[in-house]
Amino acid sequence: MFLPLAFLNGDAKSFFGPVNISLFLSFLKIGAILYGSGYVLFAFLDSELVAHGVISRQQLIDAIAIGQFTPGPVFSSVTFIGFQVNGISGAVISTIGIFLPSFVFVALLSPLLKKMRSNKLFTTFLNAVNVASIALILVVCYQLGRDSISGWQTILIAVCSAIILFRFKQVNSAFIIVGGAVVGYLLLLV
Amino acid sequence: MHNTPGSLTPKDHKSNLKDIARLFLKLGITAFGGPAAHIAMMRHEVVVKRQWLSEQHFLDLIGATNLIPGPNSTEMAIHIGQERGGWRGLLIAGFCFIMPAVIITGCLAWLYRSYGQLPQVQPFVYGIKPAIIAVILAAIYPLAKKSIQSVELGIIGIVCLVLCFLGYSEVVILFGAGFAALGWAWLLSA
Repeated sequence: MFLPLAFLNGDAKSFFGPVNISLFLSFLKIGAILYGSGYVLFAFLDSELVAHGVISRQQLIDAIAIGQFTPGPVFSSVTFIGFQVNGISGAVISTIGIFLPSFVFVALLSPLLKKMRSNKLFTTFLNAVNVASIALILVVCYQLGRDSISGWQTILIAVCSAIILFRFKQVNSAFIIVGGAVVGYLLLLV
Repeated sequence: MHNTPGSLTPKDHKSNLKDIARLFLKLGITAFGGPAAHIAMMRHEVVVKRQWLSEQHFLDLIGATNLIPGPNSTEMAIHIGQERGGWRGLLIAGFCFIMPAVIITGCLAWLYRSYGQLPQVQPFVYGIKPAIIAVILAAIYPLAKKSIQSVELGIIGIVCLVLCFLGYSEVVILFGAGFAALGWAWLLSA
């Protein structure tokens, strides 16, 4: 009685089993249609996974936090979720699913972009999109400031970092970020 | 072997691919702070330090990757790889940028399943965020100067900024800006 059930369970969670296939398709869909920031990703995963009981909301909150404090793409949250649902194979499948569309899109867009840059109408369009993109990044900056600047310590770190970066253009920003982490840690001890 | 000056020999091509791998592995490990910070760091590496792309070309890639769905900074990495090393560069850049985050996240996911909670990182993140703001601002300033090529584009930029603060979605703002510029050009010519 137990044996077939255990077998079935093992089968469902195997590499090409239904659990992984549904993980793959969910993340493929998100990777292919999601615009914008991590906040949108949260809302998306909330309705896609938490609402269907695939993961708990706490797991989602922790996954997003991990994506944000690890280096590299924020979408690595998805690796974390895949692992919680179905171990290493779930993590691998989910990661492939979420990033695959990006590779395809850029491969398609790149030759197109070169051709269209010589088209006057498209150039007008792209120039405006570029300005809009810069505006979006500025707003991200404002939101970061609103969330993190509180008290003289954080202001000091932001101002000193900015002075260094604007004065010495060759400074690697990774040093600034690590420096910020260390100085912040020390200032918290004071 | 006979090569005209300026054309890439297979050897050059190979060293190009190695450079791409090295750069994006480095960014994958050191790029903290979300897409806007990643783009700031990529600009420093690709435009300032290595001069693989001009400021305008980099700006165009930002605009173009914003127009397609998916994670912007990962798509920037893939795009830069493609510009520099063809389809091999495309795959290598994307893979190298994503991999470190995925491995770190995978390890954290495994720890999380064993211990049920995340490591305490708050004291370290405290100083990182203000530093990231400075990094983004330092990169965005020259890009903003480059992108605002006319009074019209300046006005579009301000309107985008306001709409973004009012909470309009990114897709609406990006495409809206593009079509507004087209409409403007059409009105002027009519």
